[in-house]
Amino acid sequence: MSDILLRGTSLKKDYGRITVLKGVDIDVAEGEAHVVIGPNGAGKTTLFKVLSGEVFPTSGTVSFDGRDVTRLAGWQRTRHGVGRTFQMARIFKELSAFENLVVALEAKKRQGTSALELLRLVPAASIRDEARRILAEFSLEHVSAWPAGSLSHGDKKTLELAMVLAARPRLLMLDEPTAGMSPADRQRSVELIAGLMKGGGLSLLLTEHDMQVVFGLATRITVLNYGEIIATGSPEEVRSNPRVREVYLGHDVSAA
Amino acid sequence: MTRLSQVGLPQFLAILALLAGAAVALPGIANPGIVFLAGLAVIEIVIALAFNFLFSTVGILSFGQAAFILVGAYGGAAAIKFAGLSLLPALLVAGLVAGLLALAIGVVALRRVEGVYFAVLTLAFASLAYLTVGKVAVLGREDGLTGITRPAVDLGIVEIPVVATTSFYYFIVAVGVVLTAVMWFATNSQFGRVLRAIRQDQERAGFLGVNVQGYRLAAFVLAGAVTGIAGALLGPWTQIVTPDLGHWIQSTKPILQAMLGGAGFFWGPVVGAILFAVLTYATRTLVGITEIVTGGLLLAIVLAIPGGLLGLTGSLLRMIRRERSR
Amino acid sequence: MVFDILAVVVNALTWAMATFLVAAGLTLMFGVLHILNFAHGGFLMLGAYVVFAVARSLGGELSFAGYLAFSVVAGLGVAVLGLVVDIVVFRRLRGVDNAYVLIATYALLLLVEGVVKHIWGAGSHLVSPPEVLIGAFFFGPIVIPYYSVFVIAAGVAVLFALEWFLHHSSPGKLVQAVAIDPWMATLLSVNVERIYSITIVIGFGLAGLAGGILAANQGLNPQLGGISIIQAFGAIIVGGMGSVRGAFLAAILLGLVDSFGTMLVPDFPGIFFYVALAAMLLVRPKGLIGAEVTR
Repeated sequence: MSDILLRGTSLKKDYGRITVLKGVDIDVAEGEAHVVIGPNGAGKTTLFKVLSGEVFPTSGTVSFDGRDVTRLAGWQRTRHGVGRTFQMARIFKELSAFENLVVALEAKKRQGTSALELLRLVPAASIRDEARRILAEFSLEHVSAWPAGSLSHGDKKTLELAMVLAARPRLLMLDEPTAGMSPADRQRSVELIAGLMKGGGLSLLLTEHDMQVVFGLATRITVLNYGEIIATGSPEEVRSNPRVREVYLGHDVSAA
Repeated sequence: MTRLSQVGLPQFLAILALLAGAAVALPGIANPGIVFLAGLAVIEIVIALAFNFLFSTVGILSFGQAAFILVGAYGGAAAIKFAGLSLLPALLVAGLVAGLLALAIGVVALRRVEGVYFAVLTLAFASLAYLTVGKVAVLGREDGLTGITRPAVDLGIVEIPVVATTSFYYFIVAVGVVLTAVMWFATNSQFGRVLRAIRQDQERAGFLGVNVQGYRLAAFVLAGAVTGIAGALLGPWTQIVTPDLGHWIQSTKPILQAMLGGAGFFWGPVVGAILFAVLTYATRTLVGITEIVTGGLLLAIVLAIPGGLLGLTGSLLRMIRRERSR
Repeated sequence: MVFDILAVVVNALTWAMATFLVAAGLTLMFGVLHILNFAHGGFLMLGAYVVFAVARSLGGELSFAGYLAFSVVAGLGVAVLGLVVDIVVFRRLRGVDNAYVLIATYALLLLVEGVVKHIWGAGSHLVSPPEVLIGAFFFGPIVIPYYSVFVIAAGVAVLFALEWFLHHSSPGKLVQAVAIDPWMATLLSVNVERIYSITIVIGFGLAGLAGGILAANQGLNPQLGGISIIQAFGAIIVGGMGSVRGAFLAAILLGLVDSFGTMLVPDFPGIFFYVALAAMLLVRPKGLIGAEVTR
């Protein structure tokens, strides 16, 4: 079963007396783009947190690449090859866009080399070149020297994605990657993510509200409602699932 | 070298050389009383730099740095008095003991994320250290350890005696220069870059694969060890160590100095410590005035000039330049 | 042995209520404004010095009613100072990083210490308690000082007064609403700024009142502010920051641990307070009652 990269089994999560996840089974196969949708409050963000290691599940297990990672913190899962972005782009506001990438690249490099790297004053030439290359690839070179906090909303999200990808993850988890974007930026993001998937070696798990984005990217869709999965399958299957139409999709589908 | 100038290494070395030069020149022009206070000021500068490293680079507010001064001072004094160690190994012992204490406190206190909790926890642990040391018979209880000598600096090939007050003063300046450089490296190297990133967004740093707690703990231990080494200079300099070195006033002094000079600047604590020393000296005969002046200044800085003295100077210079260019 | 233990309990309760008197205003302010007021001890000390100054100007002796009355006056005076501090300091620091607010309150403590030193000198002073509180009575074989009874009664009275205020008076309910969710309170057209000011005035008033009540409990010196604040910090951390009841229970718990610890290991007085504090935080990092003023 090595072609399943991430697997969550019977995931439950309680916050006090409120149960947000009621035993969710979910997996991401290698190379697929798996999109989790569901109405607000369905538990998408909590599922994301549990799968990425931001919080631990009340019960159930998470495995990555056949290894049990249920009790591994987020930073340890990242080292195994999970990368994630946040709903509100999180970047290092006071550092320049360039430095943001340097921090990400250096974090990746330290995992392979000795801790003496930490004593370096100036980032290695290879790191600086790589940072510049990535900024160019994501069309961010014009804001390279700006404090990241002063970037536009769309550029912040792009920078965050670039930082996450700098660590060369095998699984990319995106929490509402186009939330709050203009239609033009949204289109650009979909193309960018689709392009990444074409490059191969990357699997995707994302949550999204925008149906155009969902059906533009997904190879598989899972529908979450009140902490339970009500449907999972190919976009066509989910589109024609009567239960999904009833609780969630409604007229959005005909619009899409 | 162009790259190193980007991180400011040449500027740093120039300022450090200038300050060290001024400190070295002092005994030639000032009386021994002033030289004694200057030695204390150098020690306080290092302690304030270590505090500000935690505050401004790591983003944690410690109200318990006195604990590390205390164990460093006692560790160094005991190493000299009881174990007969020479000066450098004694400083090493002090750094080790203080670093271990920082490790123990950090493991417990750094679990609490909120800044104010950490501040109060460190305050409580430092108070515990202060009370405990004052009750231990071997450490002289409330009277402390007296008659601490100044053993020679053994460099392997040569032994340099530092018994004379001026020689020991130079030794303090030398150690101060080294520790200042250590703090600068910790702030501006890749290590410091990671810490600054953590301060700005620890979730993001974590999901780049950074062990956030590990880094914060390492930084706390480093600051504790440096503070301990600085504290170890106190015994041989004043010939006595007492539990009062662990009083919480000793923890708040570096906060005050860093804020006075400008916590956002590497040199802020240095400026603040010197200013504080001058202020204390100038108001030494007036009961209560030292507290009123420093308290008032600190309040004014937090309320009106968060950049401290260096920040204020910077804005003034910019204003003058703008006036001129008109 | 049993009597020894009872005597230790009386001791512990006196310590606990003295600590709670300091902690009450502190935890209230933290619960509502999230300000940890380092200067609280300083203003408490100021209240104590005010009672001392009044007593000295009246010839050194105060009647019980006079002592109580001047403690209240000290509380009112410090409450007015609280309003000034709110306007000059706290209002300007709304939204600023908590660390800077904590440093600002430390600056206030320094200022108050300086003023006290400047006016009354760096040395110690004694306030003699009113005559009825001098001496002790026997409860069976245990000696109970009248002053202990007074301090314990004052602590319990302050607890009940605060609880009544928070849960049964209309301004108290508004204070609670703001403590839980200031944004929501604003939507419900509560004047949040005014609630903040009221809380600060009450918090400072409690500090001044506690200073008056405790003035005769120990010698007065300019270090008093710093010493009392650390014990109170311990009580509000263990009790759960912002919880009045929590601080009350924590003060009793810490008082008992410290008194019994000192009885068993007399060489290390005062240390068990910190040991208990550290142990509590390892077991229950959020304190006894991990919540706001309300619970």
